[in-house]
This record gives sequence, C-alpha cells and structure tokens, in this order.
Amino acid sequence: MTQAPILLIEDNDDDADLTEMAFRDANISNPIVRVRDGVEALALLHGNGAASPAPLPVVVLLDLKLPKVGGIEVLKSIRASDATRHLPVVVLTSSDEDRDRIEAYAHFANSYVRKPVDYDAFVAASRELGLYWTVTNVPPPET
Amino acid sequence: MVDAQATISEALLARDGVVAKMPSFLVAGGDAGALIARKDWRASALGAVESWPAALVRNLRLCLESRFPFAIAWGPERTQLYNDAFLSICGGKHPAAMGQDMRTCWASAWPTFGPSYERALSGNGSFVEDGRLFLDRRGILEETFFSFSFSPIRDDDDTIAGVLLTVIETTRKMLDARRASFLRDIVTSGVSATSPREAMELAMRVLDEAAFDVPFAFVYSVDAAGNEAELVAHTRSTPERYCPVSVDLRPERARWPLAEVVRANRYRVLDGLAERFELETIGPYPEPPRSAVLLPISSAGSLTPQALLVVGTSPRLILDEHYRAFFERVAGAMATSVASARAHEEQRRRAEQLSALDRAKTTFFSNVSHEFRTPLTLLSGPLEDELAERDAPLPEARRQRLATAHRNTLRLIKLVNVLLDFSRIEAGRAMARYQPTQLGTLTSELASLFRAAIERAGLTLSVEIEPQSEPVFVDRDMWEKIVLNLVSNAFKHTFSGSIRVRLRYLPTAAELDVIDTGIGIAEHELSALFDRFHRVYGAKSRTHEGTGIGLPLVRELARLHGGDVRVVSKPDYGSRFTVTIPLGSAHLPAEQVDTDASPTPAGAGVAAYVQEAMQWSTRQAEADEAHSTAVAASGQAAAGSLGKVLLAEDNADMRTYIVGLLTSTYQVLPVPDGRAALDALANFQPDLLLTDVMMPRLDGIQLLRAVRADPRTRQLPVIFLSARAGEEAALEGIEAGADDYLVKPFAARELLARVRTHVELSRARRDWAAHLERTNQELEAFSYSVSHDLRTPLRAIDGFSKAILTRNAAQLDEEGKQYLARVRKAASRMGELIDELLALSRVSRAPLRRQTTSLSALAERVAREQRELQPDHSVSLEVEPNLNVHADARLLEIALEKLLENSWKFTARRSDARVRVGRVTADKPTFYVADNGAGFEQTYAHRLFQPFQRLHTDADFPGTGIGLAIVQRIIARHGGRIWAEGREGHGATFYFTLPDT
Repeated sequence: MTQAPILLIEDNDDDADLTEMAFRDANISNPIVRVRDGVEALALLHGNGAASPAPLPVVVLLDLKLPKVGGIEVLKSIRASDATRHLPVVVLTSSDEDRDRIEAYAHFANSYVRKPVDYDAFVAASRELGLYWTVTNVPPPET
Repeated sequence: MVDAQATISEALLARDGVVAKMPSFLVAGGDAGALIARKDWRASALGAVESWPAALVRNLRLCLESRFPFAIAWGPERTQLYNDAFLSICGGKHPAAMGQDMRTCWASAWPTFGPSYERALSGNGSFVEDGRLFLDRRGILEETFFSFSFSPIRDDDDTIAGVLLTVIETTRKMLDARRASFLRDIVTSGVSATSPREAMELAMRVLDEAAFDVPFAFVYSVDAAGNEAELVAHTRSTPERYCPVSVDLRPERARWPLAEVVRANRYRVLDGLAERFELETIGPYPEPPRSAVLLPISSAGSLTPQALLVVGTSPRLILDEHYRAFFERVAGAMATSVASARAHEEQRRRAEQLSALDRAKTTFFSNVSHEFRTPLTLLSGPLEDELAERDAPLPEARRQRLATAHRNTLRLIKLVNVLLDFSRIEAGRAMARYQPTQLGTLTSELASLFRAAIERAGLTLSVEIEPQSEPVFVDRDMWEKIVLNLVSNAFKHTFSGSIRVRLRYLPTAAELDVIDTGIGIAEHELSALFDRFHRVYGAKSRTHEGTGIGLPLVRELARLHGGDVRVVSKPDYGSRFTVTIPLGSAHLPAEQVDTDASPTPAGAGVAAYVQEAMQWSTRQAEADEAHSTAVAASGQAAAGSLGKVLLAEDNADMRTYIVGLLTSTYQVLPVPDGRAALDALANFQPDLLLTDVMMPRLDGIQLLRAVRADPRTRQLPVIFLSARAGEEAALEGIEAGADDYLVKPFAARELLARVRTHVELSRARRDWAAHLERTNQELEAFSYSVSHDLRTPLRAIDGFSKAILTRNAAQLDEEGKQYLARVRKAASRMGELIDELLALSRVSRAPLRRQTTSLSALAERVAREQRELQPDHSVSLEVEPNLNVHADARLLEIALEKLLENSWKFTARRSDARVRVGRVTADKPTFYVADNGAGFEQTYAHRLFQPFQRLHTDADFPGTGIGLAIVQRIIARHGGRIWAEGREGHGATFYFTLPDT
C-alpha cells in the first residue's frame, strides 16, 4: 500500500531540506510533498484546476511565516473546507511568541512545534512528530 | 464620775444595814431610791416615809421602777421626787433637787412648765412637744428643748394631791434642725450671687436671722499676700467697734487673732471675750457672748484663706462639738458660694469680652462697608457714563470689557450692601419703620420681578396670594429684603421644576412660604443654616458667589417684626422656607409704628438682586452650551497652536477673561464646572487643566481627584485658581495633587508664565511617552523577527554541519570533523543566546497577571527539573514552606528557574552543595535563594544583573550572562528589588522583594 504523503509547507529551502533529512533519519518513509508558499499549498489541497485532486496528506506541517498567503490564512482555509477540515495540521515554526501560539490554536491547529536550532534535537522532534501522526494517530473513517 | 461615786457609797450604806430599814418600794429605785431612803423627811411637808399616803407610794414605786425620766410633785409645796432616769435632766441640780419645791427647782423653766402644771392640778393632763426652755443645770442658763407631759395624781380620796412630770430632752434634734435650715439658706442665697462680695453679704443676711446660734458675725476678705484683711460684711447685730474696716495682719498682737488664723488656715476658738472687749448685750439674751470662733474661708486646695469669718457663740449654748461643726459648715457653705460666685463673675466677664468683640467686629464691618462704597460708587459711575456714551461710542470689543467691569462693580456693591444691612441689625441700629402694608400686593410685585430670570432658566414661578383687606405692619425695605433673599436663594439652588411663592393668613399672623424643587438641604446642615457666614458645603448651586449672610439676614429681619423664619427640607426634593409675621401692631415698639399707608417706591437694592439672578440664568444657558459643545467635540475650542488648555471656571466673566488671555497662544476649551471638565477630558485631551476651586456640581478638588484616579489623565498638569488666599487652601490643593496654584486676583503675566511652563512640560512628557511607545513597538517587532529570522540560518548551519559529519564522514579528516563540531557548538550557543534575549524582552513586554502563588511550590518544582537535568549533581535543598506571594506565576517561575539554575551551576564542584530558599522578615517579606557555591566578589555585585556581564569565565561556569538580568526584570516588573551578597568561594545569596501591589 502506498503511504499517504506528508505535506510540508515551508518557504526556506534549508529548513525544508533539513526537515526532509530529519524525517529520513527518523525512518519515516512517507513521501514528503513540499510547497513553498500558501497559494501553492491551497491549490494543492483544494485541487484547484487539477482534473483529479492529489490524495490528501496524512499530516500538514505548516510554517507560519510564508510569502503571499501567510500560515494562519492557510490554516483558516483548511479548517473552512469540508474536505480538509479534519486534516491534522502541525505548526512548525521558529517562533515561540505567545501571540503566534495563541493565534495558531485559536484557528484549530492540532499541534505547535518550535523548530530547535540544534539538529539532533530537531531530528528527535521530527521523529516523535512523524511517528505520532503517521502511526499512532487514527484518522477519521473515509466517507 | 460623781454619780457613780454616790452609787458605790450608797451600796456600802445598804450593806451596813440601812437596807433593813429601807421601805420595800424604794429598794428597786436605784440611786434615787437610795437617796429618798437616806433623806430625813420628817421635817418636810411629806412627813416620815412610813407615813406617806398609799397613792404617793404607789406612783413613786411606778416611777422608780421605770427607765423613763419621771418626777412627782406632791402636796401643796410641790415636793419633788424623781427616778434615776431623771438625773440627766437635773444635771447639777441633783441631789439638792430631791425634795425641793418643783417650781423653785425649775424656776427658769417655769414660764413654760407653769401653765401645764396648773392644768394638771385642775385635773387635765397635758403634753407639750419640743418646748423651748432655759435650764440652769450646768452653771449657765442653757437653751434647751423638751417634750413633756404633766398629769394629775389622785390621792386615795380621789382628790388631786400631786402631779406626775414625764419628760424627754430634744435639744440636739431641735438645734440640728434649726442650724441645718440656716446652712441651706446660705447655700441657696449664694447661687444668685454674682460676686464673692455679694455671696458673703447674702450669707450675713441669712445669719441675721440666726441670732440664737450666731449672736454676731462678720467676714473679712484677705489679700493674696495674706497681709491685709478688709471688712466685707457683718450681721446687723455686730457692733461696729468689733470689726474695723481694715486690719493689718502683720502685727502680732491684733484685737482679733486674725493673722494667726490666716497663717494656720484652720479655725480657732477665742474665749474670754469679756477680757478683750467691754461686754455688752448682743442678740436675744441679756448675757453677752463669752466666746467667738474664727474660721478661714478657703477654696479647695488653697493654702491661704480668701476670707475670714468671725462668729460669736450664744451665751446660752455650750460650745460643744456639734456647735463647732455647725460653724465650720457655715464657713464651708460660704466658701462654696464664694467659689461659685467667682465662677459666675468669670463667666460674665468672658461674655462681656465676647460681646465687646462682637460689637467691635460689627463696627468694623460697618466701617469697612462704608469705606468700600465710596470707591465703588466712583467706579460704577464713570463706567456707566462711558457705557452710555452715544456721541463717541467705544468700539464693541472695548465696550464689552467695560461692561464686564461694570457688572462686577454692581455685584460688589450688592455684597457690600448686604454686609452693611447685617452689621446695622447687629449693632441694633436698624431703625425699622413699621407701616400698614398691603402685603399681598407688595409680595406679588417683588416675586414677579424674578419671573423673567426664572423662566429663562426653564423653571416655573407661581405666586399665590390669599386675598386679605387688612394691612400688615411691616418695614417695607425689610420685607423687600426678606422676599428677595428667599426667592433668590430658591432660584440659586433649583435646577428643574418650580418655585412657589405663597402668602397666607393665619388667625394671628401672615405666613410667607417660598417653596422650591431644588437640591434640598441635609438635615445636619439645617440647624446652622441661619448662622452668619455658614455655607452649605459642596452644595450644587448656580453660583458659589454667595456671601453666607442672606438667610441670617432674613431671620434677623423677621425677628425685628416679632416673627421668625423656619425651614423644612429634604435633599433632592426641595426646601420650604416659611416666614411668619404677627398681625397688628401691638407687638411692635409704638414709636416705630407709622400709620401712613401710602406706598413707597421700591428700594434701590431690588435691581441688584434681579440683575444678579438674570445673570445666573444667562450663565446657565452659556454653561449648557459650553458643556454640550465640549462633550460633542473639541473643535469649538478657541484656536491657538502651542497646546491645549481645558479651563473650568464657574464665573462667566472670569472665564471670558482667561480665555482672552490664553487664546492667541493656546487652544482653550472653557467649561463652567468640574463635571463638564471631566466630560470634556477624553475628547479634548488637553495639555493642561486650569481649574477654579469652588464650583457648582463638582468642585476643583473633586475634579482633581477624578483626574488623578484615571490612568489616562494621571499625568495631566493641573493648576488651581482660587480666591481663597489662606495657606490652608494652598496645602489642600497641593495635597490633592495639583501641580501649581494661583490665587485670585492674579497678574495676567503670571498666569501666562505658569501655563506656558506646564504646557511645555506636559508636551515634553507626552512626546517622550509617545517616543517610548514607538521604541517599544520597534523593539517588539525586532525581537519577533529575531525569533524567526536569526534562528533559521542557525538551524541550517547546524543541520548541514551535522549532515556533512554523518553523510560525508569518509571524506573528512579528524581536523575537519573537529572544525565542524566547533561550528555546531557555536551555532547551538548562538541559539541559546537568542532564546535568552527573547526571554529578556518577553518578560518586559508580557502583561503582568498577578495571582496568589506559592513561591515554595514553584521553587520545589523548578528544583525538581534541575535535578532531572543534572542527575549527577547532588544538591541538598531546603525550601521554607508556605511562602505565598501575589505575583505572576509564570514570570516568577522563570525567575526561580534562572536563580536555581545559577545555584546548581555554581555549586557544581561541591559534593556538599546546599541551596536554601526562604524568607527573611515577616512584615515586609524579603525572599532569598542562597547557595554555598563559588560565590563572587561583593565589589562586583552591582554588575550581576546587567545583561552579558559575567563574573566567571565560560570555561569555569558556562552561561549566557542574561539569566540574572531576566530575574532582575521580573522582580522589577512586580515593583520589587533584587540584590545579591556573596563572597568568593563561600556562596551567594540573592535577595528579592515582591510587593503585593
């Protein structure tokens, strides 16, 4: 069975590569689909213009600071659509400002993870995160 | 005792055998019986005892066996026989009295005894109560009192052969009662005395009536030094030669030993008056007094007497302890009277001084008022002329200024007139002229003068006059003032509703009611309402320009008519003032009643009252306008550009004047009272508040409190303007938190200078605050982006270094691996620094959320984390339980984290590491975190809390140097203080306070 992808919404190439590396190092084999900004992310999720929509990701990893449409906007849009409302969204960001956390949770983010500077810590966090959302967590039944 | 001696000898006699011869009826007769038995009666009219008739023997036995004093007079010679109890009555007459003729024995008393004796002989018993008789039983003729009874004794043949005398002495009781009544009279007379001298004179008048006890008496006053005594008063009986008018107390041998008594301050008995004075008859008895008593009259606690009393003693009384006690009580009663009279005198003198002071004050008022009127007249006259000038009229702007001056001159004249009226009444110079007046017509006319002003203010005026043809006697000027003051007062305190003026007639009086629906008067203020200069504090009113003598004037005027004024009032409902004037003229002084009923023109004062009321309603209109404009927008304010001034002032003229002064420089918003000022603050956002102190609705002090209580206006500079020049007012202003204070009248230049200073300060303060706010915002934005943007490249540096190390390890030599490891280490340290810096900025920015927090529990938790992080480092921790604080738990936890982290770090090299968390004092709690670690040099203690300041090398104790700066900020956010004590190698203690608010 092909594994459902992980959607990574991240504008910074370094961070994106590090995240992918971290997942690999943590032995999470789900394919990682990466987009660079909010517009791209929404197009992908809502299947705008595509003949057959891409399969929904098992989890969305969302940076907050994005060009064009910001992270919170993306979150709002995911929660606004019936098709994507149930998607687990993990905010993955450098900021641990109160107001960012408050805002993320206010728009029903499932989790908020601050990216550690230390790579080893980052790998550890990615592993826990990936295992939880791809293995432990049971998504709602398909309708 | 002689009697006892006799008893013994008679008992011996009895033993020697005489008893054998004693008739049986005498055996139980005691001494008297023995005496009868011993006496040879054979030569007497009674004959030998054995031959005594049975009736005599029977009665005598009865007497002898009784313990009550009895005597029998038997036979035509009234031969007297008596029992033992009678011995005390006989005194020195016993034993000679036994067998004596009763009339001879009691010759001095016979005038009293005789009639009763005779009645008994004729067969009628009698009883006399408290008969006064003079007995010579003790060598002198003595005044005594007896209750006695004479009853007939019948012989065996039923003829009356003797008389039985039963007697009881009441001298003590009678004298006590008599003397007590004199003492009472002395005290009573003293009450009315207005001076010590009068008190003493009145006491002598009482003693005039006491001749039986006090045949003569006189009293001297003694000067303070005790050198001289001066005669104050004497009884009428006292011969003048006894009591010289003044006595020098210094020579030792004076006629009376007055000096001695003064020195000893105690009474003295002077015997042998016969040797000192040529004896003469004084008082009711022919015998002259034998002795006198000298008594000091002194107030309680004083060492020398204020006066001396000399009293003669009755020649017919024994000077026993009772008699002496009586004299001492006389002196005591006089001392009391003298003291109370002195107090009276003192009081009267004070009252006189007060009334003199009052008169002087009134005269002063009167003079000052008169003095004021001349210059005031010279002010108003030319002003009027100038305003009325038609040929060369002034330009309007200048005319306005003069009109203001003129209006205020009139007001001043009115105030002076009221003051003058009052001082006239006070001085009793009100020469009222009571004329028969159609009171209804006059009252109606006067009240109606206010109609325009009242209706303009949106109130209604109703005038209800009961028809009455009979005129009322009033002084028309005075009635005018009564009506004008009451209506004006009602208008001043009524802001909605109505004012009713009602005149009614009762059977004996006319009654004027002025009823308003105004603010009313609190009950505790009512009693003082008619007191001069009393003003109801804080009352809402159209103006605060009162004199405080309007209502007292009404009362005085009503009283001059034999009437009065009263008030009923309820706060928020209104007041009713009622003036009652008796009908007719009988109660008025006839010479001031004028029967001329012709009307007189209205007094000149009327115009002033009405004009003033008019001004109030005009001002209210202006005030309402100013108020609504102020609330609506700030655009209405006059335009200047250097700052905004909010002006609260109830006097329209003053407001206009100040606006005129400031308007070219500042934007000024004038409002009429404190309430309006408060409402205008939010929209207008002034740089300065300039406010009067006394204002209706909300006064300056209250306004200032409200301004200071609001965080948005706490910094606003406030300048008080006040007419109260006393230091008290200045203190009140400054204490309430005013920035400055100006006393009216003030110089325009001074006002401008102060306003400029405060506006500039205010502007600077506000600019600075705005600047600070901007900087803060920038800082926040900066730290926010730091959080994101600095961390991202760091993560890349670290991540890719790691990637090289793991994935490209084969291509790397040891040196390369070393370098990359150092790159990673540096990146990680950079990350820590950034995080700490962010924490530092966050603790300064985050809102403070205080709650009751257990510092003990927080410390335990943080310590647990430290233990988990460093399981190899064993630390013994003591945390004092129940350290409760009111603080932001999150921030406090961060602070404790940093402090304990510090403790753990600096004790890392000790195997006996010890950390204590506790509290030093209970009342103003100071908390501490103490360790026994590396410590520091106290000299550098102040640098501990500055960011990036480190006292140890990184190699010794790694760290960012920001932790304690964060702690310091957290404590400072709570209004607390932190400091440290330490010694190198001996540990460090961090103390901090956490005030509750």
